Amino acid sequence: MARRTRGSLIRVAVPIKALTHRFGLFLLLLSAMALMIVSRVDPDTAVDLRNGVVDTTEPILDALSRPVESSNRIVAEIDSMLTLREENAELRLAIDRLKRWELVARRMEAENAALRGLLNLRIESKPSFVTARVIGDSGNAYVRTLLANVGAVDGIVQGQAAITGEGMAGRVVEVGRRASRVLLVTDLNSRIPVVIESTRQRAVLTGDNTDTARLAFLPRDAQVTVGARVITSGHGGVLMPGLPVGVVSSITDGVVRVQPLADLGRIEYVRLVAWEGPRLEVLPEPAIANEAEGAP
Amino acid sequence: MRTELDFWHRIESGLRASLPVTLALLLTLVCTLPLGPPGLGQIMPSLPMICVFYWTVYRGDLMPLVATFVIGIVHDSLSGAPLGGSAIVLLTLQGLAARQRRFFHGKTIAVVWAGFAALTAIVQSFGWLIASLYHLQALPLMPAIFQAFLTMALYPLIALPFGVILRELLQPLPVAPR
Repeated sequence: MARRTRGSLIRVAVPIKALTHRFGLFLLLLSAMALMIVSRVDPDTAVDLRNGVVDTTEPILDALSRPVESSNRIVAEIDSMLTLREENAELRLAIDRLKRWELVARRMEAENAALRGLLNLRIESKPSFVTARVIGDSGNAYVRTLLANVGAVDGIVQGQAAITGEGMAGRVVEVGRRASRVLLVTDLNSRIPVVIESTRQRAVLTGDNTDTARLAFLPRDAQVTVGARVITSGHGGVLMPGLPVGVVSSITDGVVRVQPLADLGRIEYVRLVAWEGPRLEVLPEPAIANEAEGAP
Repeated sequence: MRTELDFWHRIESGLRASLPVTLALLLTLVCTLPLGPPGLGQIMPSLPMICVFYWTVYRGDLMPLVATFVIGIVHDSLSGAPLGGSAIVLLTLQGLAARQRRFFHGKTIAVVWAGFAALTAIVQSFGWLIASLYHLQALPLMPAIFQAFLTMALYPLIALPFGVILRELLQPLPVAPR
């Protein structure tokens, strides 16, 4: 009996093996295409698989990126030693300028506090930060992302903004256990609700895989000038409002392009901003009833 | 005693045989690292392409199609690209390279390099087409072109050490003359 089963198994298995050998390439190409279609139609499944791979390789990437980072730093050190004199003079000027700003900021802070007290303004929650090291660049011609070495265990959640000292770099789109992916503001899929700082005009900052991003949904009569600063608006309640993103770099034929403030090509560390936006919560029925009773 | 020797021998040859795939996976990780010059991320030479091509030509038996598929998936996962895109490109490259294996056999590195450059141009255009189809819009061409040129330029730098590994640790697979 056993022998017969084995025989029939072989009888089936051998042609299958020959077939897969013959059409292996074809089958694998088909599965790769199927995967692409799945990741297009149902991104969540693809994200799980991707996070699995990222979490598995994270320790290796983390270890490999350390020497790379130190060598980059040595090059930067030598570079800065060569320009020490000029840098020093520049910094002195900057300190003078910033001291004046400090005075202004202090006065405004006091004024702000006083006015808030008068208005009884409800202060939004304060942000908290997690600083992460960049362990992966995209290495792909068609995407602009970064891998940071913090993940769900560090309290990172999807949608958090990633900022550098200069401004916003992108936002977290995928969170693994110990690594998370930051979609840069210049990526094709990046959409950030922003306002123009001086005129408070709303727009959506749209990436298109070039070095600058485009302002979409800007009203036709909007007054924009080159050099205007663009900051996050916080609309949608996901991103913290007021983070600087970029400056308008060119306006041609009604297309407004924005140069990101962060130097996206050479980010070594990012800060991920945890911020609880305002949320609408549906109160349970009794709570509403009690409140209604309590009200005079 | 003899079986024990046999056992260690088998482990050793197994390790040697897994070298091509291991190296390819390692270089796939390396090419997603945030390396030196700013902006390199987008035009980082595709190291997995070099690996898959080289081992397909010289030791096709040690670079199975499934391994290529996995390398592609790992690369896509790390780079954040749509899953499967790199796998399609790498498998196409492998399919094309395997057909030319006899032609490449015994040729100088310059000839093989030229062949690699030609195949890279073909599969990179194919990859650009797939990515554009996926996003339903024509993606910027320049990064793809730069990446292809850098990949071509880097080939000898990877192929020479691979050649040493091939000679010292593995045997080149004899190819039947046509």
